Amino acid sequence: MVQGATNRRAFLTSIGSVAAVGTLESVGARPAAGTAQTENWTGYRGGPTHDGTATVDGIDAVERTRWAAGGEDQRATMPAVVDGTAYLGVGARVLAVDVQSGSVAWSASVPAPVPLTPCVGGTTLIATTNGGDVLAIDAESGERAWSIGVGGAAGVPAIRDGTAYVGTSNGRLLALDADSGSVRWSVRRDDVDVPEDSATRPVAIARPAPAVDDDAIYVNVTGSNGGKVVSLARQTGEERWRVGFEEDYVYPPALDGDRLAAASGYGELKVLSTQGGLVRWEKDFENGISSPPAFDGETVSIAHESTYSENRCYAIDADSGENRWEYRFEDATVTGGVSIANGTVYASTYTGSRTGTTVALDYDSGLEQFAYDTGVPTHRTPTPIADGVVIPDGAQVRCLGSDTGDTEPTNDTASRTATDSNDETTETGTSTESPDADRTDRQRDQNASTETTSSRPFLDDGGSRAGSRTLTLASIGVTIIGTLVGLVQLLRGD
Amino acid sequence: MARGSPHVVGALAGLPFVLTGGYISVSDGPAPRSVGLTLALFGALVVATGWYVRRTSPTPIDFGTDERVIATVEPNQWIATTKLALGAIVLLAAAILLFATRTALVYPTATFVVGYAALVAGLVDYWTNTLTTHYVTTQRIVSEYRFVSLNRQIIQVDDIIGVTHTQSALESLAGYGSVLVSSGGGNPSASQIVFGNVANPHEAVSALQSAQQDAN
Repeated sequence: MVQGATNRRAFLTSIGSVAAVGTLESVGARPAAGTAQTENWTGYRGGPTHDGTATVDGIDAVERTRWAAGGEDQRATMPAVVDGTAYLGVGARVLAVDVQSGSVAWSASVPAPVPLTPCVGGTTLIATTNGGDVLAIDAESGERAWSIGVGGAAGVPAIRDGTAYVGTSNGRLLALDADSGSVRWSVRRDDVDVPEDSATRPVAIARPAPAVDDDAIYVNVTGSNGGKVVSLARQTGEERWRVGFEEDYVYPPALDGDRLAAASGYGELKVLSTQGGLVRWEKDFENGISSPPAFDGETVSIAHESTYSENRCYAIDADSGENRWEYRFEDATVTGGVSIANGTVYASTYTGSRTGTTVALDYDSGLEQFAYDTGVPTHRTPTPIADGVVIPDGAQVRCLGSDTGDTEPTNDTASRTATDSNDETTETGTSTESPDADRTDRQRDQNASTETTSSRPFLDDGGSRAGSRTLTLASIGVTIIGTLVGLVQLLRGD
Repeated sequence: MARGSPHVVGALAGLPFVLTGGYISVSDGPAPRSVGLTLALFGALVVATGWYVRRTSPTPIDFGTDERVIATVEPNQWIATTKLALGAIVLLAAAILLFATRTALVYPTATFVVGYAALVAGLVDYWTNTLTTHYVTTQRIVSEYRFVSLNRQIIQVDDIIGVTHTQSALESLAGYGSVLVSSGGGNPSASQIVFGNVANPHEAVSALQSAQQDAN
């Protein structure tokens, strides 16, 4: 069985390599597999286009946890990763962490918890807080450059060509000079209202997240009479076009070239032209889409969440709208974010019998490469990095590596820093956190569980990860039936 | 109080399920947590049933002054113990397949089913035997069993029309057997009494013959 898994992995690796070479020829922008790679995931869902697509190779196996950050009372955001450094919010701090070693380059205190992925443009990092602050921090030193209040719950920031774009839940959209924080323009939409259930939605969805290209910004607008995707002129904030959806919440659109993919929680998926908002094609995934789409120009990938049928991850041809493949989430009750790396699609899920799983799927076939179980439910989006992936683990983020590594995390890693942060908040009576040793043990246990839980089928012919549900039904059924038969025999005295 | 150590058997059989099921329930191991919870509940039920059986006993029989007990026959636990041991070994193999290997889950599941069936059969046999007693008196053949309610079968010695002694080849080697007592009258439901898993079936037959002679 182990040999079989190895052969399958080798087979998938070779497929991935061939696919990566083919893609390089057609796109001409992606690095070839095996070459030294640096990350360019500069913000929420990859950067200002929010396309959920990375330029690094995906991995097909997990060998270790490099580091983890955050905790129950110190929620960590998914990181922006630029040139080997991950930038993320952990509680009321922003950290710069070396993605290979987990060592913390700097840690900056901010006035309130950072709920959303910061973004990095040049040497400037932009973060938003729950207190309505927009902050700029020097990405090299961790020194704060400026901060302003925006008078509302700030959404995901995006930065492009020296301008930061931030929306608020009350309909305001600002363009800020990234160097000084001065407002270049500000518009307030009067068609924004906050539905009553907004508190139950992830803030990245309930708040606007502008995607930016050379000419325009494209922002999701929440409204109780149906959400929208609105395009605004990048220089002035003037509206160019809008496309409506039936559902109140529209996910942040994913932008690639002259097209963008947008989805609503009801299951509406539309690929639009950036010129005029023309609908190229649209599909209806009944009951729901659970996260923003990932869009690399060739493929739109989404996670479908259904009350009545199996939850699945879909890869859809971006030109025709035809399904290329679909992957059924075993046991998943809630599906989460999807991202694309070279050769790999990552997706995170809540599951029924297990609490959280991130799966890596072959980009071309949808075959599962590995499944990594986490201890805490989560549905945020995995972040591809060189030779690894950063995955959500409840309030934590966990950096997984496909390399074996030589050393355990040391005291100056992100794990340690998260504990330090907790020590500070403990003084103010808001947090308790397990000691460093416990965290290290948990990491070791998690590494061990990776070896035992990933990709274990019920039958020898394998296929998808179809084991745990059958095991559950068989074991519980046999136990209950056997117990009843035994009790009846005891009652009868046979 | 029942004979033997049914609570010890219950604890030995049930606690591993409680521990294994509890571990699966709280860990992120190879089996789903709902399976762990089910196994833990089953283990707790086995432990509780063992204690219940220990505290359960048939009510004493009021034999008259002119009625003498010739023999008290109790089922032997050899077969039940063998089933329990086989079940434990197979379940251990299932646990090894599940936790220590990466074989397809069908193998530990199938092994679990076999071991579980053997274990449950062994437990039922052990506890049933514990709660069963046969009496041969000068007037009656009495078989008593109590789990929740009392089940007492009686055949008058005068009504006995046949005594059948059966032994399989394996039972012959081990010295075990069953004795079937058939009645020609009385309550139809008590027309047969089986002394199952008896250690010395020849002695039981002799006692029955002695009772018939006394009655004549």
